[in-house]
Amino acid sequence: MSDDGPIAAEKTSAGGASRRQALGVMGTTAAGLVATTAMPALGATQSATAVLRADNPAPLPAPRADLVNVPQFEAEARNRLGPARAALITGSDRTVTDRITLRPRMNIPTRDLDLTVTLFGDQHFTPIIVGPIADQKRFHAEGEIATARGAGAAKATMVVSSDASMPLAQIAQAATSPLWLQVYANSPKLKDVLEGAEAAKARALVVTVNANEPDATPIDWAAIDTVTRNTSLPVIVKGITRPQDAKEAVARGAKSVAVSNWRGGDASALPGTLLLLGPVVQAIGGQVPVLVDGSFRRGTDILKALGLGAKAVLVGRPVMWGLASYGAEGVQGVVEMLQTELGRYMCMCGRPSIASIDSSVMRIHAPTPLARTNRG
Amino acid sequence: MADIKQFELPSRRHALARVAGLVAGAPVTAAMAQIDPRPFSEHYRAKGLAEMQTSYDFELVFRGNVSQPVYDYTAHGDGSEFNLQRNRHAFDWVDIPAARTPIAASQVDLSSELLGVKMKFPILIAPTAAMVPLHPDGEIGMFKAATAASGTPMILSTNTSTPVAQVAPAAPGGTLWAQFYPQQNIAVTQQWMDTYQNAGCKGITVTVDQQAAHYERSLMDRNLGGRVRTAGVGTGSSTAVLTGAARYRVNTARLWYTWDYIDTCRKMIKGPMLIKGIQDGEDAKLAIAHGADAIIISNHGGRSMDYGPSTLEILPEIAAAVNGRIPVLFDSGIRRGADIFKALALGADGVCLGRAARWGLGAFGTAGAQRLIEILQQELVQVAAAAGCARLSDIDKSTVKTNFV
Repeated sequence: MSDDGPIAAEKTSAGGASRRQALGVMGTTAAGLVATTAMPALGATQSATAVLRADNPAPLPAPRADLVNVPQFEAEARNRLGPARAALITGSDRTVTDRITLRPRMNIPTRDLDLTVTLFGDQHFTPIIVGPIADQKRFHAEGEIATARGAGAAKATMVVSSDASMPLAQIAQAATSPLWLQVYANSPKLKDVLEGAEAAKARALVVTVNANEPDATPIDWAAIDTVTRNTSLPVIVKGITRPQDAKEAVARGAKSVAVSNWRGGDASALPGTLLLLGPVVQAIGGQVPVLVDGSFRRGTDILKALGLGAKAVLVGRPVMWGLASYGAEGVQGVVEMLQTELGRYMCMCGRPSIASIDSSVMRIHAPTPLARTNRG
Repeated sequence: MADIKQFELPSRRHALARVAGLVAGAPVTAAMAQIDPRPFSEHYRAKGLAEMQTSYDFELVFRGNVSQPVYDYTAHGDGSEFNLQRNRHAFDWVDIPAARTPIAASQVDLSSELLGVKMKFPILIAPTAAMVPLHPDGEIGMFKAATAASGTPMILSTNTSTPVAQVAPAAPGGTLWAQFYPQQNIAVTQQWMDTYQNAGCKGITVTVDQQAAHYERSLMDRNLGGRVRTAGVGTGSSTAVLTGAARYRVNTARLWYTWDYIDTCRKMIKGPMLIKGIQDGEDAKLAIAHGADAIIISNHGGRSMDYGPSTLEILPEIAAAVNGRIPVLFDSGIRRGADIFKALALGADGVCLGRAARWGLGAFGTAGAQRLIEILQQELVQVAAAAGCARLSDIDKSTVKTNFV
């Protein structure tokens, strides 16, 4: 796992033996001699060998309380879903976040830590929002209903996909936190979504552009216009990666843009969005809040996004890991873990509120050269 | 009276056969298939004290000697341990070019004076908690070892497993300083200060980092044993209305720290006050403004904050901010003499050994800790000689090439 002394030694010490181990081997040798001479008919040695060669059993599902970080939920989901279904929601890109270190500051009181943010007039408990994922029944029998319950328990806003596997009315009934609705630009479902929004008491509309395209295609601004004309809800244009597109979206009445490069499949194949954020924020600085999604796996990742100018982040895959593994409780667990981690590292960087976070909370480094071994 | 046959013991042969049967069926017998086929003389074995050549040699022995929780405490870091790893990686980003005119090791004299203490080598023992679980020699053994190794000063942890009053007199002529964590109650703070100063500790170190650390790796290792130790997220049914950081389940115990409190400590400390856990140039300036006689640049050996910078990469910036006004000590990641040289070259006046010192004590007790310190001293002298530095003042930025990212 690392070149750091203690951890590397863990590996080595499994191969290297102590006097205690040597004595143990002598003991088993003696025991084996007794066994084979006294009771040859039992064939003890053969059965022991057979046990050793047995395949590793499938990992047991871990109790929810045993998990201590979000990446552990990914392993848990993979075990439960099997490789094919898990491939839809696993993976992440750590290369960008691993180039950013945080700046710890001392002796700044943070007991009054406040993570609340206001978006479109609504106050959110934290800047962590459950992102839109289609057809969540693929991952858990209760699908979006469990996600809504879990997000509500964690006091997090949830974005419901227009391709949800559960009726919007039922999701809205299960939800105890505000819902946002997501729809693709140009989607034939737009009319249904706009009609359902009122009944679901939705607080915003997320319009996704250029999703599932291998290359960025020109955004169909007419479709965005259609949405903004037909709703009184704030419209968030999601899928922006370039500053000029962000400007255009704002000019056409978007109340927010979400920087996102989601293309489906394995997330580790996608470059991180963190470094795309700065130019977008600069281009529309202050006019509208900028949201971002993409590979948020730890509270520190989210703190970095906030430092780069994001007002809130959307978390998709990790929430699905929680859903697949533990249903609503897993969704709650993942969201609360990220909330706690964000709060913890804000405290250690001396930032008692979201507004107090700026780019001085971190340093961006060049890609890390490969470490030499430090041993030998 | 019952039939005498009822009390007749089974024959010895019978008993032996039953024992053999138990052994044959026991999982331990499975280990037979793994017996190393090589001659016994070629098997791996634990090395002895006389065979220790680098600090890492001690680590293997230490690992075999201590229990899992003690190992976890010593080995692991905060969060994903990114920072723990970066602490080590950063030493790879500094090169020590060989001098055109290397000198003989016998000509090297790295003695200095730090806060009134004459030191033969710029090395101290960092405060680390509970040493008795590492080895019965405990803190007393560590202090004796440090003192025997050319009078290395030791900073005793506030979480010591041996009372300071017992440790202080254990090594006559040695230098013992104390470390403590801020206590919001001023009367309690005064009590700690009195305890340390009455025991003879002149230097007092106030640790200001590690405000809300979380040791995932230790928790994972424990959970592997099937015992749930985490505080289960979302299981609380308390109706208490939480405010501030507690709403987000952040441990708030240390989130009250202020520089005003450091002023209070300054008034209570008669000798030098060291501030440990500084990781930013601005904080270094504030520490000086609030009366620090020295700072220790430290991220608690990676135990303070995940995704924080390595101490080595921020050392030049902090040294520049301090600008020679007070001594700058350095810790987190020192394993070799060359590491010490790099820290000295980038502006440190001395380094503290935390994990490495624990490896020495855990491996061989007092003798091991002493040997480990001496190995690092010898390595440092050899590197200094190869770099052409006869005195501490010769070890400056020009002796290294940095490649920080």
